[in-house]
Amino acid sequence: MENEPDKPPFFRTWNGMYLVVLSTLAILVAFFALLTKVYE
Amino acid sequence: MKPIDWAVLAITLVAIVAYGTWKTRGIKSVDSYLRGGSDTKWYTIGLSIMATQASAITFLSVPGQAYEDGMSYVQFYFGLPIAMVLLSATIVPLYYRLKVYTAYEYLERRFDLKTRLLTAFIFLLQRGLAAGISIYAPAIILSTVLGWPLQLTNLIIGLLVIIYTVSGGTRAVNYTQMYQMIIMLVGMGLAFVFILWRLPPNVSFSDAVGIAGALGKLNVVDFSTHLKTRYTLWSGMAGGLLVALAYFGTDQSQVQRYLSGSSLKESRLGLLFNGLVKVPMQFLILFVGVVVFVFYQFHPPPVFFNEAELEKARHSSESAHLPQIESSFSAAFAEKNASLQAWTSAQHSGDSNLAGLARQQMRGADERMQQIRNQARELIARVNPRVEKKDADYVFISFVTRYFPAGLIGLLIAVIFCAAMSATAAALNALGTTSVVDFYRRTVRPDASNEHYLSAARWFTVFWGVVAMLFAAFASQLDNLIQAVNILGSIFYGPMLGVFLLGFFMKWIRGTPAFWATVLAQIVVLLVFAYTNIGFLWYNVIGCATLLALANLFQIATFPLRARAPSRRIGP
Repeated sequence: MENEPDKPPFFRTWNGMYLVVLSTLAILVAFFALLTKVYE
Repeated sequence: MKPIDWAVLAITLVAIVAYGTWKTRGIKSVDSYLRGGSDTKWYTIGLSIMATQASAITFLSVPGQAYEDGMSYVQFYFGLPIAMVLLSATIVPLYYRLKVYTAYEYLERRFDLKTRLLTAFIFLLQRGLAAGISIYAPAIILSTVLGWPLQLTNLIIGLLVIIYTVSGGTRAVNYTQMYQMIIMLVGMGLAFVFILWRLPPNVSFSDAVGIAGALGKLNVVDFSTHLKTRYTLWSGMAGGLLVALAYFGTDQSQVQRYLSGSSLKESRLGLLFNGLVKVPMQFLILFVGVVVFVFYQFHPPPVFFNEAELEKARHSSESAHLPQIESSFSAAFAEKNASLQAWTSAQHSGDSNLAGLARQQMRGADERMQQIRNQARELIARVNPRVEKKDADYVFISFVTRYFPAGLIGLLIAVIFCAAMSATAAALNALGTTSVVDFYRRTVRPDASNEHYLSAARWFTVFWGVVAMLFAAFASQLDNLIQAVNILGSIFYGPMLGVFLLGFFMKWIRGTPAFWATVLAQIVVLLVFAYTNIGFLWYNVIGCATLLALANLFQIATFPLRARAPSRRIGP
């Protein structure tokens, strides 16, 4: 395992990447909930 | 299957095995064999992680599950992206810092040898059984649909996997999984487009979604808090999160994928990539099942999707009852089809009263069709008591073989083989690694040469391959296959996650309380499984919580906090 700098692409820290993943999940769950509600 | 299907299937499988063996020829060090040479990029890790989790069952059972019960299964994956973030932030840097080969090595450094061996043993037991199911599940369905002998299908999947896994170890598994996953995604994407294209010309995509919704198949999110309901938002967020934490954080078949990364950054990106695409991918696979359901609103479905068993029933002593069942089924289908036409016209003309009435009639006819299908299942069970009454696993494959064009059938069968091979390869690779690193090298031959361990790792991989094939050969009929695999995982993952959480966050707990708490928590989960009907995702929560509580209790009872010696503090 090399000692490559542990820096994510596009963001200064990993928190930015984590936020992208969690925000995508939140958007998907909201979309699914809406889909369920519309066709209930 | 036409000659072109056979050609597509054979070329795909041979190319995968040849590529895996060629790409990893000449491996000389045990480190390269077990950790893949530590030069894997994030996209290979991400696809490899996805391919490890996506077994053939995913492509056979999931569309069938959507056909029968709708989309609620996707909630099982809601905890996964959160788990990917938590693992990237905590456990992955820790594994890198400790330079471990297996997850269980950490437990010896934090607790003691017996806790490491216990958890490694639980892993071998659980993953060994699951590897058998991952061969058996597609083999039984493919052999039924294609008319092949079951044992031959078992043998083909098992031997192909053993060839490249034994030859190239982790590196071969990673590289073949990347291409297998690409084949799976392309195959399912083409299948989705083809099914939409086969819908009647006057049915648009939005009409198809409307029909699925009207018949209750778009029930994606369930906010109810009933413990007995298998998939809810809460069980997905709590149980699904714990399953994903345990599976990706402590199951060697996954840990080995991301520990092969060229750096911590590549491993983290691979996990986060999985967190981003997993939920949409599962939604798409479920949606394929829903579109198949919509297709069968316009074309009569078979009364039982395992057509080989249906054919047996036609030539049995029960055959006199079958025409009556099929004729009632056709009548109910015609009734539903008429209501569907009325509903579609009412939707287009904006007449909500008429649409509501037609929807009610449609649902009534759909329920009648379900009841008649149940009668057919009972009849088939009388003819062959050993046959699986639930035919959900056959819905998608039966659709493929009946309606797909030549060439695409071969590709979809190759998708199922690829999925079976990728999941099995990762399992065998991890089982071989754990056997060598946690048992053989640690307790039997601690001072042997590099070549000796490389040879031992290869022989253990062969051993586990043979065990998995034998289990597949002698496995009896299981209920819905995907449920069987998930239930098996949930029985073991709660205590497994609990002992790792103890190590990370409860610095005051020492080896002996951790060991006994793991043993007892595992017994508690087995008792809950045997004597209650609680939804299986909750086993994870029960196992993990029981272990944390018991370990603290034992620690307080045996080692008064003030008198204790400092424990080994290794954590994120």
